[in-house]
This record gives sequence, structure tokens and C-alpha cells, in this order.
Amino acid sequence: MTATEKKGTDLLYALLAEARTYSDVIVMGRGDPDFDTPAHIVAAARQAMVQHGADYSPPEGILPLRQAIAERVARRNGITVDPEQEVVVTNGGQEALFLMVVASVGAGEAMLVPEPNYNTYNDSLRFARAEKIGVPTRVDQQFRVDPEQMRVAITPKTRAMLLVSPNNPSAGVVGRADQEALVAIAREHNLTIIADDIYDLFVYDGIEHVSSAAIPGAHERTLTLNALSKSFSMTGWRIGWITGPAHLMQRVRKLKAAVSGPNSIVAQHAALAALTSSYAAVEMMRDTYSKRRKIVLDGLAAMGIPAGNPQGGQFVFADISHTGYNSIELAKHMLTNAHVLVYPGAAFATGWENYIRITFLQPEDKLRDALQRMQRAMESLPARSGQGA
Amino acid sequence: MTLSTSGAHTSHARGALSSLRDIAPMPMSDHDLRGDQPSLPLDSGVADAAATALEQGQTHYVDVPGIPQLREAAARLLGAQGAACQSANIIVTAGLQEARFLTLQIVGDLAGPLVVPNVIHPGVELALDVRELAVQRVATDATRGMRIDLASLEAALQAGGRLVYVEAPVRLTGALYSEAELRAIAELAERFSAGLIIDQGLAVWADGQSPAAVLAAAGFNRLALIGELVPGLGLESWQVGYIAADTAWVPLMQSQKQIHMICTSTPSQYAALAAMEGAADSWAATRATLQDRATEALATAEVLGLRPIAGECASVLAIRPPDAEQFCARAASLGYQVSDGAAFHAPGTVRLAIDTRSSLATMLSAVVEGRA
Repeated sequence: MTATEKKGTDLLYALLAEARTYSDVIVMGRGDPDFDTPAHIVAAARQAMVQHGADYSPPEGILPLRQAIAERVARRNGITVDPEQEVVVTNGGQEALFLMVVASVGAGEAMLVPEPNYNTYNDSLRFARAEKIGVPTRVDQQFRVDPEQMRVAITPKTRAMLLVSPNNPSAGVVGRADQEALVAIAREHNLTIIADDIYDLFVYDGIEHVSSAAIPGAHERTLTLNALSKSFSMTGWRIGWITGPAHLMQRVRKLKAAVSGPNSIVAQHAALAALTSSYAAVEMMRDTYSKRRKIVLDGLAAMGIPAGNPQGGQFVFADISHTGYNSIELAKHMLTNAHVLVYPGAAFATGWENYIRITFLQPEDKLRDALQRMQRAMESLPARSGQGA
Repeated sequence: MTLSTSGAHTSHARGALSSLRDIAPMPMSDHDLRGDQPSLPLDSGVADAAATALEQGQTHYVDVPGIPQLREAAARLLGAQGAACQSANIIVTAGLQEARFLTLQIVGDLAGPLVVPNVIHPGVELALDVRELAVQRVATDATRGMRIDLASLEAALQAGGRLVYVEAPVRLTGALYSEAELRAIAELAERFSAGLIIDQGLAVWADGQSPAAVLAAAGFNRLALIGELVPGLGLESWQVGYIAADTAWVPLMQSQKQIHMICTSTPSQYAALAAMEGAADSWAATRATLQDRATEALATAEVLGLRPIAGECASVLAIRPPDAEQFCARAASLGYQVSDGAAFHAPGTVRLAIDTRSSLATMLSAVVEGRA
């Protein structure tokens, strides 16, 4: 099977593998920040290896880290949790996502998923033998999650509602009024809310990030994930977490013990250092990403590729329908001819074949180089009649 | 056939969960005898190698199945133990529990129904309970250290079982399967076109051929070997395990690992890589020390009437005291933490970890005689 015949996550990994065959490739697909982990966190890890390398950890994580997480979500998200019962440390946001889905829906049950959505939600639902009820969002509405559309999509089998804000890959943000309306719907239909806050520190243009669990009446039914991968550039360490009410976290804790047991003790101490020290590095990275986002948007505009006004995240989701090529064809063309890796929208959900996701996790000079290469590659595309052409 | 039910836990899994904290991957103190593996001090060079990798920028995502040099080292190590495997067969996992989860849930879903011993580590029950799977229980023989009863295994395979989970050595008792027994298991599996999952994590603490070597010599390939990658080298809490599996099974497990974790923590992988250098010599030296301790503890347990279950693995001793509950209570009153066999579905049995730091024989005497 060739890369372009694969689907979803397998498609993305096949493209990533192909990208590695080009020595000059510029990767604007995967969500791995180009910054290394801040030095003070690495230094703390070195110290922890000696001082705590043999310490025991329960499957849910060491208590000092759970306390630091509770303090972080209280301060940054307005979510109050008991670190003893309502926090579980996970192997990155990815494990958190998987555990939340498996904890919330079982075989024959269904989850509402605003589309486009991060591909691993599809995979996790498949593992759980549960059904995805896709609820499309619209580019001309800044990918807003419309509460009424969510409400009408509910079926008797629906047990959970996914809210990712900022969304991956669309970069749309769920505003406070919509969060309140969505929480009301979840209460009305007794749904668990699966809230993915992994990009909560990366919103732009003065937009407010609102955590679902912080809405009055939401805590009792909301599982919230976050991680240090994107915020502290710690993708390789695998540290994330889930917070939620004790009655839901009991199942999460069991699943964590079953899937992987405790996290690495060293990674946990590095995470503790990250959460209890300065956020200056995070602020620096956010400011940098904000500048890079503008470079990418300007570059795409010069190519005539509309990308709306992404409100958050570390990527833009661009509309390529005018080219006449679908997203897999265009991603393949960019990789082969420009040695630039972008991800096809088709990998994220059905119906997004005319979009590509482009991350801005490269230094400015590389981004400019990539955009110039992309422009040349666009100009070399044989003409086809696109939807917008 | 026993079916677990998603969301509503089976009695097996409830037991496993309640005992979860009784089965630590490594001991918390000299008086903690619950560890799955003996704990030795970490070599400072290992920690330095991991820290240096981080300082050189190895803080990003790595390949899903593990960093290439660690997979190659793991393949060489298993090859030296007699296994037939290449780096492409290796998946580095975040500890043994992830290896259990991936093999049981992913290979089990593909190649099951599963056949699982009725005396088993509680981590297995937890992994089985994540999602509904068809599971058959197979009898174990208390007179043979809770090894699988071969007649019962044959019956389970005749009844449709197609993937057999074997702890070799048995996690509760340290009992090692003989070469003849392993060959018999492989022959049964071959006859019924079944596969094997072999947890050989304790094999490093027993003399004789590794299970992998015996199965390789028997030409049996429908196999997933799992275990802790560098046991007893001070990295227990760093969580590094492995799967060495049939090439037909690797892509499915790799795909699932991407879905639920992306990759194993990078500092742990670099530490494991450094620890593997010279590991074989270290294990041999530790095994010799443990064997002395085990011989002493076994003799003491016999004299004290604690009815030890002789096992070949030097890192663990299982006993069947006349009143196991009272034994555990008295141990606790003296500050010792032990594993209740009930967590393994073997009530009346107590598992005691043997370590290089303290004498298990002294502890047994103290508990029986009620002195601190």
C-alpha cells in the first residue's frame, strides 16, 4: 500500500516516513515544537535521576506532581480539583485522550465529535468499539462549534461530547457563550464532556480561552486533558494529565493502571519542575508562534490559499479547494516537489479533503523557505478546475 | 469460556484492582518485599548518559517503537539469550504493563480467544479488563509452582483457545518451566495453530536456558516475548519494557502504541540503552547473590513450617503459611510489606521478594517469632 492509499493516522505516519527520505525536508506537519525543552527543566531532570530515580510512583502519578497540576488548572483554567482523587498523570496528552475516550464510551455507544478533529479521537473510538457522531463546523464561521447542531445530532446511544479548544486541526476556539450552551446540553442529556485543553496557552489576538470544566455545573461531568508537550516543548518526555470529578476519575485511574502503569519517575520530576517554575519560556514560545503564524498566513495569502483567521493552536487549516486537487494529492505534491511536509485534511475527518494543516513549529527562516518552495510547487501544478477557480 | 464486560468489571479485575498497590514494580524500602524485580542502585554513568542525551536536545518525539539504537541493542540482547529476533521485531514499551496491554488487547483481539492461567499477576487481569475479550482460564498446578497444567491447556485449545499467555517463570512463585514443558506447550500451540505470549521478565534471575531460546530452538515463531528490558539495574521506576514479536503482529501493536502514547519517554530509553552495556555481567553477579539469599530463605521457611513453594527464580519466594492472613498481619506489624497471593488468585499464598540488601531468612524468623 502506498502512502497516499493509507488513511487517518497511518496516512500521516506514512507521509512522515517519506519526508525523512529527503535530507532538506521542512516538516510542517507533525505537532512537535522546534524548541528543545527549557534548560532548567532538563537540569531538574538530571538532579532527579540521582535523587529520585529509584522512588516509587503509584499508577496515577506522584502526589507532588498531582498537587502541582491541581494548582496549575486552578490558576490557569479556573478548574478546582482534589489532587488525591481527581488528577491522573498520563503519558502525554495522547494517553490522556485515549483513556478519556475509553472511560466514557463503550461498545455500541456514541460520542459527539465536532469536525474536523484530531485523528486519534477516531482511532480511540474504534478501539472502544464506539461510534463517532461527526458534527461538521464551517470555515466561514471560524469553525465554531454550534450548540444547536450538537443538540440535534444526539441519539439515544450518545454518551459523551468532545470539546477541543483550540481545535486541532481547525484552530477554532469555543467561546464562553457557546461553552455555557454546550454544558447545558450535556447536562440535559446526561453526557460526559471530554475537554481537550492541550492548546489552552496558545490563543491569539486577545481571544479568551475558556475551559469547559470551569463553566458552572460542568465539573461533575467533565474530564479535561492537558499536557506539557506543546506548552513546555516536552513532546519526548510523555507527560500529560486528566482532571475530573472523583466518580469519573475512578474509572480513569483503573484504566491508567491497566494500560501502562505509572509514568517514568524522571519525567514526572521534570514535569514537577516545569509546573512549579517560571512560565517565561512558554510566554516566549507563544510570542514566537504568534509571529510565525502571521508569516504563514501571509505566505498562504500570497499563494491565494485562504486560511481564515486561526484563533489558537500551533497550525493553520487552509482551504485548497480552488486548486482542483484534493488534500492528499496536494500534500504529496508538496512533499515530492518542494520537500515540504504538510498534513492532508482528509486524514482528520471525512469531508475535509479540500484542506491542509500547516504547523508553524519551525524557525522563521525555515518557514519563509518552505513557503517559497510551496509557492513554486503551486505554480508547477498542472491546471485543474477547482471549486473556487 | 469467560467473557469480561467492558465498563462492568469482572470479579477477577476487581481483585486485581484492589490489590494494585500491593504489587509495586519495585520496592519502596528495605522492608518492602512486594517488588516484581530486585532493586539495585543505578549506575551513575547510566543517569549521566540519559541526562546528556537530554542536554543534546533529545527532548522530542521519537519513533513509535523506540529509538533505533535501543531496538537494535534489545534485539542483540535477546539474541544473545537465544531468541530469534531482529530490531524490527522489537517495540520498546513504557514498562511491562504496556507490553501486557498491547499483547493481550491487540494480539488477543486478532488471534484469540485468549487462554490465561487461573493464577496470574494482577496486571494481566487489569489489561484484560480494558475491553471485552474472549478469555478461557486454564488450571495451574499448585504442586509445580503454579505452572500451567498441560492437560488443562490442551482442553482449552481444543475448546477454541488460540493465544496462550504464559509467565515463565511464574510471577507468583518464581517457578521456571523446564525445557520439556516449554517444548510441550509449543507443540500444543503448533497443533492448534495457536500463538504464545511469554512474560519472561523474571527469567534473568534463574539459571538455565531462557524461554525464548527454547522456543527458538523448537522453531516456534507465532510468539510475543515480553518483560522488563533492564530488570534489577536501578531503572524499575523509569518504566522500560519490551515486546519482541512475530513480524505479523508488530505493525498492529505499533499502530496501537501510536494511538495511546506515541512513544516511550525518551530519557528512559537513553538510560536503558546505557544500562544494557554490561548488563549481562551485572545480572550474573546479582543472580549469584540472590541465589545465596534464596537458598538461605528457603531453608529457613522449611524449618519455620511456612511451606515454601520451591521456585528456580532467585528473586522471589512464595510460601503457604498455616495462616496467611495472620502472617501478613504480623509482617505488617513489624513494618514489612508483602504480597498477598490472593491478588494472584492464590489465596493462602504469600509472595516475598528476595533482594541483595537484606536477608529474607532474618525477616521470616522475625515474623514467625514475633520479634522486631
